[in-house]
Amino acid sequence: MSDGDESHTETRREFVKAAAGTTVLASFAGCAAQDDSGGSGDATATPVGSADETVSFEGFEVPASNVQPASELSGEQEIDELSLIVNPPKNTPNDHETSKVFAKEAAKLGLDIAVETKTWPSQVETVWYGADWDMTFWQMVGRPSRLDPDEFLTQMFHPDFQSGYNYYFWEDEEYTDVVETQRRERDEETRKQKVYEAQRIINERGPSTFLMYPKKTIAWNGAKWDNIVELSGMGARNMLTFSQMEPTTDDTQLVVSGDAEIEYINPFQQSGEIDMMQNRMLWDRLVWPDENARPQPRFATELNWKDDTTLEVPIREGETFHDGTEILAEDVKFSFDVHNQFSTYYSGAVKPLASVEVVDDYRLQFNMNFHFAPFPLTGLGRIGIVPKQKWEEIIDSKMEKENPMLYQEETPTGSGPMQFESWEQGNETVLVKFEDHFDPIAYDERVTRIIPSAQTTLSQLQEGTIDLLGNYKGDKNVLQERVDASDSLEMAATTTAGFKQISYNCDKPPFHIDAFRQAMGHRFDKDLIVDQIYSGWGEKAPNTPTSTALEFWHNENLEDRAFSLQKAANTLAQAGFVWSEGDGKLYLPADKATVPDEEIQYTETPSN
Amino acid sequence: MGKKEFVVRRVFQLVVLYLAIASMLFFLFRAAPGSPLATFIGTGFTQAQEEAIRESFGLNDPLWLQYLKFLKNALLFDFGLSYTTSKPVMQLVGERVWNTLVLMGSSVVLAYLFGVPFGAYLAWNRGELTERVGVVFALVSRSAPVFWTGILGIWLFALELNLVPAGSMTSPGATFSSKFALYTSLDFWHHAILPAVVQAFYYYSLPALLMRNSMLEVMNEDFVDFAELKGISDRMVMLRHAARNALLPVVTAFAIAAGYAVGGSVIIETVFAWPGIGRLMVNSVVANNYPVAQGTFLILAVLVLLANFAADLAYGYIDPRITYE
Repeated sequence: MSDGDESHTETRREFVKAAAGTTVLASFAGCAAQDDSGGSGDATATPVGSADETVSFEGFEVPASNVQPASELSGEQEIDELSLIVNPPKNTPNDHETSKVFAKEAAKLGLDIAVETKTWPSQVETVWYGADWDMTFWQMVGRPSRLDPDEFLTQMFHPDFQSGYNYYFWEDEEYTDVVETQRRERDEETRKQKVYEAQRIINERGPSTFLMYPKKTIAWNGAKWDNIVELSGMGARNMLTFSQMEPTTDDTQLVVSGDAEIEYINPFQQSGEIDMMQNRMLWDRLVWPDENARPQPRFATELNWKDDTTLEVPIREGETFHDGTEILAEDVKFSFDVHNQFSTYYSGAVKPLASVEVVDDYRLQFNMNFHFAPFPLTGLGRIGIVPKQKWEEIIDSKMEKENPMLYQEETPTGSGPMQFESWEQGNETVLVKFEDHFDPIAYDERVTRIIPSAQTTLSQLQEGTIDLLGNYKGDKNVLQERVDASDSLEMAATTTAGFKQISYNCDKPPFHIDAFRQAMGHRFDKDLIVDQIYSGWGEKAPNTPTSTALEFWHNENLEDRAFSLQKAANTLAQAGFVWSEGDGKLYLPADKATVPDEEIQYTETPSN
Repeated sequence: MGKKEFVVRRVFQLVVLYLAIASMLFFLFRAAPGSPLATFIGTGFTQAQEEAIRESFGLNDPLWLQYLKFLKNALLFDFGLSYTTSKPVMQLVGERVWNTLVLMGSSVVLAYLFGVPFGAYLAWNRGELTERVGVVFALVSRSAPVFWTGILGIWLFALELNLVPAGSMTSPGATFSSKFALYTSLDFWHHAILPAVVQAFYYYSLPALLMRNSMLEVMNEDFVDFAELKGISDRMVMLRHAARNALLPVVTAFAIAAGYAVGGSVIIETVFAWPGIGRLMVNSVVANNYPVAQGTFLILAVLVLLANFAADLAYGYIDPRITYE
């Protein structure tokens, strides 16, 4: 169905053309409702005259009071052509296909919708840095910090983040109150109920339609490697796998593929999925998730909340960095302070901290601005421990750019189970076993090879050069076929904590009206999208950003909007939207034709 | 005009052309939509923090100032720092350009070593079945996209016959004391042979068809008939008299092909996971990484300009009738 056009418009003209064959007449309510899930699609002509008069259009009917001659509708009520931004089909064919299917379905309501292809940098400029856009396809991937629901629930939907992840400009007082409460709640059960409540509000009136939670497909050579761990929400390629996997032959070199080049090997930066995992093997964290995505002490020995805002953390004693210097609480404090001093990739993770105090050589105290429930995973679980002395010297005298995130150490030094050996950018990175680690790995060397082509990646996996896919963006059915045909390959397909969504600009008509977004929610045939377009490699999202992979946090009581043209029309009609006689074009309600005069207030400092 | 004057004039032209290309690149990349900071999305930066990053890369300077700085630095082959890695562009280029030159140079040499005699052979057998089959063979190879022949090559020679590795430049974790040690190692050539042959399979048809056409013209010349009348063997007439005189357009094509081979390396580098300058070029364009994109394109332009210059100089040696007047 992809045609490769830069822009493809689904217009109401197609809808009108179809409607022209069926005389648009008034009918009795309830007689002729057509649903996407069945029915002939023909409008039914019935006599005019009842108080419950309805007008039938192709596939749906609305009360006659919602249909007016175009001459009686004001220019302000007109809905201009809406644009849906998506990346080029050559990069993301399924996303592009989904966008086209949705545009076609939504246009049936009397809208003109153009699918506009933009590259990622161009999309970022328009959506992230701009305000003049209507709809965009956007994917959020599962990462360790996202195994707690707070990152998505707060950063994407709290008004303080409208200069960042809340690019939708969504603001809802009730939601803001709920989401702020959940992150400050100490009792986990009570917090869970608040997280459920936040999801309910998003499900009901949120700024986005969540389509699916994609599955991460990771294959490996099962004849050579054992103990692969499927981490809930992240899949089989994760820090637990790299920490626990064991060779079953004499070959103790682990070769992992990566499809994108590693830009930095830096504890304050993350340039992609591949270096994210590599960094966690180089730089220890105080906390790691367990298989169920719940935080567990790692370099910390325990987490003691002394009161709501004071967390005491003892660390392992007698451990060293790769260069042999002992790791002390001072190093850990420094590792956190750097992110407050400079703008780094992880600066947001330390924002809830008021200060970090050294109690003694092996004990720290984290003083928080408020009780921040997700902190163990999203703060302690993200910040890599670096040697203070080395980085102080770098920051004082070696950085060309005033940011340690933009500095590349010649020999990156951490304390993780692997230490740096070599890096040839664009080709491969080699890490070797750190013998003195408290949780030593069972193999000697890990090579990350950069292979941009999915086909070549599969070939190297088949011929035995690669032991484990670090990432795979090719056709998952092909991967499954290759694994099925092989005696040695194994595969895990794990639902991730990320999601695919089509988001709306809530600051721009007609998306400033809740009902319009809700009506759009009825125009997604998720069975078709997930089962056919994505070949079942994902779970349908019941319109919440908290994935089913986060079993503890996902609200199972939510109902998704049915794929129904009639229900979409009903939602719009009840909100006062109007259709013009003759051409069936959709117009805004007269009383909501303009956006309320409220300026978006950007805040400089996110509050997490 | 003597040879010296010719060289000086051409060098001056090269510099002017280089600056013109640099200017075009500068404005073209800035006219392209997209944010160069896209790579930092997801960091949770505030607007103030993003401004600080912009400032550090000089993106807040007026465009004319950015342009002047760029031109001045371009003359010194200093293209600044990569937006994504903060490494000097010339360092990034230097790390990869030789990988590309060795691979693509090998494929071009292979293509011409086979293509030129093959073209001469086709011309010499004008009208025979071998010529017709040969021409079709050349056209098929030119029409087959490299990504397809590359994948076929990997399937056949790596997976089925197990003769060569399925891509990459070296065995995992292999280390070499220097680039020279790398390029002279068996491991490197074991990995390079398949992509070089696949690329040569695409390239060889150009010199083959060019040589064939050029030979057909030369074969009508009197000196060829004269050579035959002297009783020189067919083989010697073909090699010493016809082929040698038909080489001039092939030399021009070789110079151009050598230059373009670097720019055209991106597909073979992607299919075979070869860490070369072609992939660097494409990645930087996609990411709006202006310094790297400008640097790689300019290096490519320099290679094409130098190759053409070399071809001009080579004419005089190949055909003494050509002067620099």
